[in-house]
Amino acid sequence: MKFKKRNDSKKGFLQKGFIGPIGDDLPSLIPIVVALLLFFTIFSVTLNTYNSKNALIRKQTSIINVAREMRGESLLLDVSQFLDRCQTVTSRNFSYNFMIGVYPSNHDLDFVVDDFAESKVFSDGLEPSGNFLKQDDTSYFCGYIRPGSVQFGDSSNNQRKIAYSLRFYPVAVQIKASDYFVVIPGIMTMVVWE
Amino acid sequence: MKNKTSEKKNFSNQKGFIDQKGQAALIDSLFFLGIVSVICTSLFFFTINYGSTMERQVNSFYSRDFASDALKVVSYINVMRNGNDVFSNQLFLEDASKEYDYLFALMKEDYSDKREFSCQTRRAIKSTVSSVLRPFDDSFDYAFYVFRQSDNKFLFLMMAVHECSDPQCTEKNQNIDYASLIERKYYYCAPESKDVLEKKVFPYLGQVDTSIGKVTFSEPGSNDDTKGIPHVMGLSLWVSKSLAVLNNLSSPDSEFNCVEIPQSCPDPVFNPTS
Repeated sequence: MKFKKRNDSKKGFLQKGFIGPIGDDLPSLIPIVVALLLFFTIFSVTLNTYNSKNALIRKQTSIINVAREMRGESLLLDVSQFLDRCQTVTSRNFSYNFMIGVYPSNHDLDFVVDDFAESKVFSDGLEPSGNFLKQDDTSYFCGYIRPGSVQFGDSSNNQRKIAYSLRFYPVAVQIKASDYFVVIPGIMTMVVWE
Repeated sequence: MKNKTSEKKNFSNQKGFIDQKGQAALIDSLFFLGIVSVICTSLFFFTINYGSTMERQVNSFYSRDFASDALKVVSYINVMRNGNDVFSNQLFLEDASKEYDYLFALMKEDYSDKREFSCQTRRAIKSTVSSVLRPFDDSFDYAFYVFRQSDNKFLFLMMAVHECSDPQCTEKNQNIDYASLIERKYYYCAPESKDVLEKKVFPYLGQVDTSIGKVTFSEPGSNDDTKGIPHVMGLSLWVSKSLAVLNNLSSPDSEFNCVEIPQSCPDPVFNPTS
């Protein structure tokens, strides 16, 4: 019986396929590191998307609630009722700015954005455009602006573009015609910007 | 002796295999990478789809609110009794002799008289609904209807659709400005069945926002409104779409039996009741 003599000199580092107890595990670290990097990247993207979508949905819901509160039952009996609702709504804090104005239904709606750009909202008062519906020289106009935000029609920096959303809601408005009160169709418009 | 030799041989083979420790760790790490890849893929699809359903629902609140508010406004407002104009302060100040009333009053008067709406009332409804829905006049079509719950028949059905009656509309020519050829038309319809909208129209329009309210009309000769006949009043809105059944509403073959609401009505004839 013959035995093939093993070359005992090829031990340790020189032994084929054997680097060391730690060295042998080094190649396996590459897929592990890649997997961990991939996981944490996707996880952080998911978390960011989750948070931003939740914030967007919360904002949309808040805008809908503000509009509902201002409209009430879609009937505006007089301008003082409208302004009372405005005061209640604007006493809260919002993460966006908005303006609300009411037009008679026969008004040309192509210039609504221009009317809002002309209007100003300050913390202590409002300067509405002259095209909104009025009662006793008081306009059906309401606005809220966060401290430090620019006005909707701010054109001091011509490079700046403001993203906004514009919504229309039908309302019935009671007005005084001669000696009588009549109810006419109106359109409540709401512009929201940040 | 032979057994010890074979045992030694086996042992040396096993030892060689045992020396290959790195292989197992590599395979384990590849398994780990595979599992993490699956988790990341599912997280990725979650990211894409998260909130889209909720966002669609929130956006639909706006259109549903709009339909619901439009119906409320229609029930609140005053109209001119001749049905030709929506009330305006200017109009009233120009001629204070023009009569105005609640739209509902016109509707209830007509029902208690003849169980149908007169030309003036139909025009008043058309003027009112079209003025309320003016912000979306370019892009939306709608149906305003009143039907009797007892026999599910329409008392009134108005269809407001975009139509192109110009023969050029059927030509495919890029020089034609099709947008200028499309116009809004209002039809008064009298279909046999109440289901004609739900079966022939709504399923093919995509999203339809409907608002419904209840109204009571007194029977002719009755003075008690509380014992009236219950009716359902509804307003359905949809994004304007070309549909064969809506393109031929006034056709004699159409199930809708529609006629276009006229631009003006003859002056009403006064019938004194004895």
